[in-house]
Amino acid sequence: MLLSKLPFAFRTLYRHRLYTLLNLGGLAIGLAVSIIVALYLHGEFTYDQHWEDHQDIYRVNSRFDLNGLEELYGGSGYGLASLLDEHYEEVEASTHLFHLENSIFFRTDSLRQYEDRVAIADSNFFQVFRTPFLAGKPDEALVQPFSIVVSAAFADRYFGSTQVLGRKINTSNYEYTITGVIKDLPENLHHSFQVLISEPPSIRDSNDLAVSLWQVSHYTFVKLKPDSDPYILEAGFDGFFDKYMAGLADFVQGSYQIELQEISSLHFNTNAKYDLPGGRLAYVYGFAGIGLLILILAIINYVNMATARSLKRIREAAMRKVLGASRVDIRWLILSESVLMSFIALLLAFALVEIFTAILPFNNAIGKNLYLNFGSFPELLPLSVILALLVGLISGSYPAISLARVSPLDAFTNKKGIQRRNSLPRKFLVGFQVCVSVAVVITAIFMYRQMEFIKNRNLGFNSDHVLVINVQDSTSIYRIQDLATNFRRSSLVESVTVGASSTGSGTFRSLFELEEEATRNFRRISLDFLGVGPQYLETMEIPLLAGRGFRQEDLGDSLHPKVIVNRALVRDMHWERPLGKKIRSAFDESGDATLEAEVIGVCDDFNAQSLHNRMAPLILTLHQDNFRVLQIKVSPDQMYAALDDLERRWTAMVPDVPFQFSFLNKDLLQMYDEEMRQSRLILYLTIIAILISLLGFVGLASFTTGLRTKEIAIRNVLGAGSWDLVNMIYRELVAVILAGVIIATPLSILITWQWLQNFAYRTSVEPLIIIFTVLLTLVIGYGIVAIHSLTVSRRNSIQNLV
Amino acid sequence: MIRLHNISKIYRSQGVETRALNDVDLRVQDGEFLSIMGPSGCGKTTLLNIIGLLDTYEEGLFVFKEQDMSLLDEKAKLIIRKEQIGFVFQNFNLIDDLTVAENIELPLHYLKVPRSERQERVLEVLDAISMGHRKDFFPYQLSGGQQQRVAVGRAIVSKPALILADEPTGNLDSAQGNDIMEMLARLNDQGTTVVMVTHSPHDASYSQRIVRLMDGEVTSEKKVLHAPF
Repeated sequence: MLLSKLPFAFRTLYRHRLYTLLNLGGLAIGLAVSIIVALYLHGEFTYDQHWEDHQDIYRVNSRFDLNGLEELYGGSGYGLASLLDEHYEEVEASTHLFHLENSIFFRTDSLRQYEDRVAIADSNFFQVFRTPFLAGKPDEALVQPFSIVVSAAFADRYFGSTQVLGRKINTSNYEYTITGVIKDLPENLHHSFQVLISEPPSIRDSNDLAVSLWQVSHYTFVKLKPDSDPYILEAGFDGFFDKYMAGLADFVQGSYQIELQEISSLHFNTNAKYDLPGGRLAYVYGFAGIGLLILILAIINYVNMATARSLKRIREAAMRKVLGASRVDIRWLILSESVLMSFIALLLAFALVEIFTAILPFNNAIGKNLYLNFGSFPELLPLSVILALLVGLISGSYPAISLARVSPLDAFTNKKGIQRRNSLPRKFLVGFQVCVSVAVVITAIFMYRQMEFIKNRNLGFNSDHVLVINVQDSTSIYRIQDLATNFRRSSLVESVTVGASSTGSGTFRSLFELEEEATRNFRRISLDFLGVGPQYLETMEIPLLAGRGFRQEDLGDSLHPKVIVNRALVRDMHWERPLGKKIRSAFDESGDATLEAEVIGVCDDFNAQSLHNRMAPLILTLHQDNFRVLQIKVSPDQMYAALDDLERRWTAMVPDVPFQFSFLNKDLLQMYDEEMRQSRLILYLTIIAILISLLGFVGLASFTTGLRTKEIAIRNVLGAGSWDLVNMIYRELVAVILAGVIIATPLSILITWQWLQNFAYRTSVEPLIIIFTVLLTLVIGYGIVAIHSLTVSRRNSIQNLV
Repeated sequence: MIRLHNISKIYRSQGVETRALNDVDLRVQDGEFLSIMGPSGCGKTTLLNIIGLLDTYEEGLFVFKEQDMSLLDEKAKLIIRKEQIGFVFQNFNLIDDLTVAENIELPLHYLKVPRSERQERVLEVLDAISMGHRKDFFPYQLSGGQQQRVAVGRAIVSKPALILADEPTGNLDSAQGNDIMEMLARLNDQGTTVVMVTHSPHDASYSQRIVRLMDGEVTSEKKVLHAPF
């Protein structure tokens, strides 16, 4: 039935090219957004399903109960993997993995580069995680120390080939032999890597299993034999515990239990500590919801335009009925057009998706790597076809039903105001569009304001003109103090500080005992601390309120540890004389503190963490073993000269390691990547929603003016001015706009308010912005109506009267 | 072929009853050419619409080809309409998106006539209405007279027993009007029954009988003496 109507449908669409183009545009955008959302969801919901037998592979999580404090960790101790394999017959294979946090510097003759996603794995890794090898043997690849297995892309980058078995590659510290090249892995792996290094012998030798099982250092994975129940391992863990771990249980005053988690559930289930960042279901659903909303907008748009045009087809439908067409015939005719339109839109949508993902920097903006690939997502094509069919049927059904209902007699005589009959549902639909657009616009403006607020907020320290150098290789770490000293000698450098991490990137937390003011007793509390070096406060321009900062000579004085505290801590402890107060830490097995430090200074509060968190009480410690980061304040006027000078000094001292730095203020913004991505995504969707809604509004305006063409002409003849007529039409539409706005406003405030809860510091919800958006909507509406009505009213009136 | 007995059409609006047709009695024989005349608003078109099964009536009896029309549902009426009746309107009512040939072919689609036969019949009709050279034109590319010729072609393509024409020359100049009237007369000569509503005495002179309506009632009936000139 549908097919036989297609030639007519093609003709109709071609004859009304502008209408077709507007409609196609709307539908194609709606479908393209749906396809992108589908790609995104597919990626999110198929994490780790790439591995063969993934349903049998589990990560072994650790549940510790230490002094009544129960905590779940994603990691586990060294040695657990092989002992589980020995102890349980259900385990087919087991392995452990250790991700190197920092980028690793690799070099061959042809290329020197930092690489992310490097991990250390034991020799059983590929027995658990089976994956195709392009060169080498899975079972042997990671057996020898200093072996390395790389992805095909990595091999290609460094050697221009994947057949590179036995070739050497160097890092800053070691030389490795390539023993395997694997096919590139998909991106949606929770424990993702591109390079696997075999275990260095030092790890095996230095670990005392009795101790290491109580630590969290690695990720342990087991592959169970088919049909084995993971709960058997958990339930039977007591035997394992008694055999291997009970010895130290009394000493650490705790208990330990394993929990097996299916690897495909890792991505969304990251409430464990010591886990890699995972996906957030709320974002996924949010994104899917917005995608659906845009599709609905596009469908509504089609319905509006098709109904507007169906006014002109009432006579056609009536005549067809006179000639013998049944209601069903008319319905199929209209549906065939909308389905055809929808399929053409689908083709366009594929092209749009390709343009967005392959050509435009869309993936960068949303931090994903989506691309159209029917091979890796075979369901995409049938799903798209079904979607297009559904969209065609849904969007065509309302005009189809209303046209099929037309009685020929009414159509020929325009009885019962037949043309006006279907204006109410259309008003509802356009009202809905206005509502969605206004809500999206208000939300987007608030998100943008919040991101600007964060960018410009005073963090309590000055991140401008501060270079950050993350030192990773052992040579540079060993010489980090010398490097700092050397940099200080540069006349272009204002100050240099060495620390455990860069400012603002987070703090650590530990138990401390703090001396109370009145009683001189010690109170035990959990507090944030940050390991910093000399000249920290000066470099970061953090105001010192009392006492002094750390000096170079404090480094050598390990017998008398010193700390600096912030204003919030002094306030919380009600210290009147903070200087000289004692703070204890590092508790031994009997629960006594082994170290006692003295407060030598009080600094002002600053944001040591992202603005998601409030400024909390903080202890600055001096602990040079962990120094990894150089922060250098350079002269703002001679930035480039300073960079050149620093690089010269660096190269002179550590020539093998490239000089790599970042700017602290840029690094800080990266903490809000997720929010930036969200607000960018919202911006794109806002533009799309506005575009589609404008089309819808054009449809409504042309519908309304089209209905009243004759009336406009009569009023014109009787002396009405053009603007009188514009106002007359606008009055009919203003209620629709206002209704949309009234529903949209509280909705958008609610969404914005929810989103702002993510931040400890937030902007206010400014009524002026809402008023501005509402006024803008009314003005745009008026503009569109004006264009339409003026066109009609300035046409020759007599023409409209005939 | 057609028997109307005491047909009344009543419009009720806000408590006011308007009788568009009042006890109309009318018979139309097979092969007859009947004109219905009368001033505007006398009920001519309403009567034609009732005969064409496009409108309903409140009282009376309507028998078409020995079948009581009041007993039929919409579906049955639709079948009679597409198989037995052809329509010609004052404003042509051609479908803009279809070519001349497709407009003529349309009724055959709804009659589910096979494609090859459809094409044959369309060619015949195009020939009969002398529009073969314009078969791929769209309606807006034709003059009013040509459009009405196509409308007549569309009305006769399914070979209906009855053609209903509502002011077929109302939008045409006299030469075009004569052309259309001659076509209808020719069809009638070939055996098709024609019922036409018209204001024009000239057009009515092509028919065999004229019925006059006034305020919804038949006021006179007379035979037409041929030939007209």
